Amino acid sequence: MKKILFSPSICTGGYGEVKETISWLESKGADHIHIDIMDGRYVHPIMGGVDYVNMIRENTSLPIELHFMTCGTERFLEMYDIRENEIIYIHPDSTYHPHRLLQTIRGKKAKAGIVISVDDEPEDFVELYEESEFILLMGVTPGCPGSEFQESVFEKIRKVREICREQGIKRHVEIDGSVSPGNIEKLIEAGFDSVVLGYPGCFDPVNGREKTMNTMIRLAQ
Amino acid sequence: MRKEAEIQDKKRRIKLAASMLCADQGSLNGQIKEIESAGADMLHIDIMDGRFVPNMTGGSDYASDIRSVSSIVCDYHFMVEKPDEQIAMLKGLRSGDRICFHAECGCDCLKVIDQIHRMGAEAGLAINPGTPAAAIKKFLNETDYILLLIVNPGFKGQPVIPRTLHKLSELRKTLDEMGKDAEEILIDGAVTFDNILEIVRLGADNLVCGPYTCFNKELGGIEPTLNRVKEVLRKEGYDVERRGR
Repeated sequence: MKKILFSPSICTGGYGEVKETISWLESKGADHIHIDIMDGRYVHPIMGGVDYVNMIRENTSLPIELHFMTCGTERFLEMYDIRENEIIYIHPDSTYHPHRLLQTIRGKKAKAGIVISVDDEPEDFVELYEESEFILLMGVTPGCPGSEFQESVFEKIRKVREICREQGIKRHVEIDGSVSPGNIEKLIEAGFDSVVLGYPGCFDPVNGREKTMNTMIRLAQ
Repeated sequence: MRKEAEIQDKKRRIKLAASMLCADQGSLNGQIKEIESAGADMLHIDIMDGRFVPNMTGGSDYASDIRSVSSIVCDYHFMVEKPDEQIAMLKGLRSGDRICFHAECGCDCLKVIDQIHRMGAEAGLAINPGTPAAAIKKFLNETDYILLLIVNPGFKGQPVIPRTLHKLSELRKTLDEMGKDAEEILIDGAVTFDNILEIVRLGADNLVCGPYTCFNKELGGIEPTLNRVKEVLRKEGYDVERRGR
């Protein structure tokens, strides 16, 4: 039994055989599937198209996390037609009205989440915790895979838990970015509920996905 | 210059570009193999940013993954607000690859055409149904091909806008008058068995093949459909044989 949920970032698994990648992830006991959606403006790359997301929806029974790295996220939520029980992460600075956006997401019976990015502080969003069931801490700068892991996440999760305590609420806290065999134990110890797994934590081009995932599972037990 | 007689002789070479937008996104590698063995000339890869068009696709990582497994030409169609930024992120281009972007996006077209040429690719300009052919005339000496949309872009399976076919013949005439017989016109959107001959007669050189002319399940899928397209064109005297890569 793992002490933390695994949410592999499917975009880092390549685009040639996505159905096969999904079955493999399911066979390895992945808990969620994390999908990055980038519009080329909020972050430089474009990623995670509508057809691609729909294909993943059709091919897995695992809960899906959609991480919107988009400007004017309201419009994108409509474009992707978010579904019941999907976990929808938004960057609060991607809209003038993050509070209303979170309400909109919950109105669709999806689970709303906010992202605390590298340059954000947990205190910046104290007015949004109430409407967010999930909180995603960025361990790297969004849109820049392979950038350096930010040790500040350990202080940030402590602060997030403190704010939640003050507000009398409990929240699912996840980390995204450079999660690897090198830091997974420390992240579990820090109290994260789940980890997004990208290249170093799952689709490692050097060690291969099978070996990397097996190591991660062993370390998380 | 392309001679009238040659057009009437219908000996022109027509190239087929399979639309990756219509492929099964869950098993692209297999789809690409099938497209290649069916003798398509190119893979047409749409890149949309959800802003220039009301739909989103994968971006440079997606396109580069397709590039890395394919042995035929990749034809990238950027439907984005900032093509220069997205084009710069493409990886693994090979000789013969083509990149086009939209004249309507508000960028400095000459600069982006130059950027594409410096990357070693052929450069094309794309125009939406609402844009007149005259709007791109001043760029035709710099471009290697033109992509003419005959539907409003963003989604597959939309009906052809008849006026765009008039624009096609106009553009062909302009290119002929300029003596640009090597410059190809690529038609994108709802090419069907009902309109394919009309489209090539009006002067198209390349066709994006989507749900009707490539991924047509009723005809048995990719290979039988592309074979049928070639048969229809060959019967009318057009050259549809792929050469090299």
